[in-house]
Amino acid sequence: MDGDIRLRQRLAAGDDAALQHTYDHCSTLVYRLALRVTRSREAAEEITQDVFVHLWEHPYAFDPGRGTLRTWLALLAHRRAVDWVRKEERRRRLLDAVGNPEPAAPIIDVIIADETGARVRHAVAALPQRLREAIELAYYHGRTYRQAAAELGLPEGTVKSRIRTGLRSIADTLAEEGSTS
Amino acid sequence: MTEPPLDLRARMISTALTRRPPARPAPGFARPYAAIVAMLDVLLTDLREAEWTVVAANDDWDVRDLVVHLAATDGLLAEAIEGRGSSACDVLDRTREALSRCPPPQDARLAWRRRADALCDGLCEADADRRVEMGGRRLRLSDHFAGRAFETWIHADDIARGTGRTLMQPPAEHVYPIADLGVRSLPKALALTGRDHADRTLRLILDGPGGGQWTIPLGRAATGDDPPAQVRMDVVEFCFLAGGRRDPTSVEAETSGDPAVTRDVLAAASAFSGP
Repeated sequence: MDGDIRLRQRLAAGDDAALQHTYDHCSTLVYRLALRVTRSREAAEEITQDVFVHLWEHPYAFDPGRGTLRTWLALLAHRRAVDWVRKEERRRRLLDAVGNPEPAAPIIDVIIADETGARVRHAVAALPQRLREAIELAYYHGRTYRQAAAELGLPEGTVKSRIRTGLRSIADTLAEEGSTS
Repeated sequence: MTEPPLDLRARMISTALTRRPPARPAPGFARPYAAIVAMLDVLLTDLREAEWTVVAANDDWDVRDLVVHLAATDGLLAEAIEGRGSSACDVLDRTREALSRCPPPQDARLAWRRRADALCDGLCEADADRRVEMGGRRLRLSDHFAGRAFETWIHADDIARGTGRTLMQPPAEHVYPIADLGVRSLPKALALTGRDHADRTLRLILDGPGGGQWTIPLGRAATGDDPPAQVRMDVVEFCFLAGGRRDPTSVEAETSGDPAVTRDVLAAASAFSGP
């Protein structure tokens, strides 16, 4: 406990050696825990980094009166890992719903948060044609930006921007429906 | 068993230090200052917009005013290092001048941090013994830096208490030089406040991390009393007493020996605490 109080003081005083020391003593625990929950190395690495950076930026968030630093880091890692899994599940359900496991572009968060594929299809159908055809090629037919651009006879940048505009419009439609239903 | 990849450590450190700069590297005598600056900075980054206007010290200075005041005083030290001395009045004049420009809180914070970091840059160990005049006091640079660390700590505590937080204590190695400066200033503090015990000796025991024991003659005429007047108290309480944040008549301290000496020492301890 005394060690934790002193470590926290050194972190607050901007001593980066204290951060390295904490990482050396707790990173294996944090990483394994995140890996066990997410079963993804990439996610476990990201969570491990986030947890230690959070401690460095907010040393006051850890209260040594309520438990050890190890436990606090482990709880934080667990919470973030569970959040990651939930987000990942929503993402997978949506991808299943639109029938394409690998999108050409990252889907923005509001769409990921929507759980019914039917509403997504509906929103896609309501798009102006120039946006809809770009979205359909990328998401329903698995084209890369470049392939989609070639098929539509448009520059790649134009296709990208149409996809972005389309996605934003879908997100707005879903958000509106969400707030009225 | 599975270990995190080796390069993750370096990636984490680099992200962390980009998001929040570490204490500025500095020679030993300026390290407590650099550390306490980092300590106040992390406190300020956690403040909500409305908390910047909480009155935190000196009757009507809010958080932003205190940060501006620290920056203005740090600026005087930078000038002193370049050979331009300053008087006690300059401290308040500079603060008022800077406040009249009404900097937004985040600008005030960034300007203060930049100036503090710049103050640490370009110092070398040999500067410790250079004597410069700042705020009307001609002292070794190491003492000026302990003084700046001290004032930054006191105002960080003002800000923490004003916004309903509890400030962490600085690590012990940074508390010690501050307490040491406070102890060594006692003879002059007594003289300044007209309490003359120039023939007496004081023994001071400061408990807790960063504390220690001092036996100091209270003036040139001290002959080495046996046993000397003694004050024993917590080191942080002593620092806050010296910073003018404790009432000398009610602060927790064990005293023995001549009560006139111990009472006057406690009363004079804050003689050098400015605004």
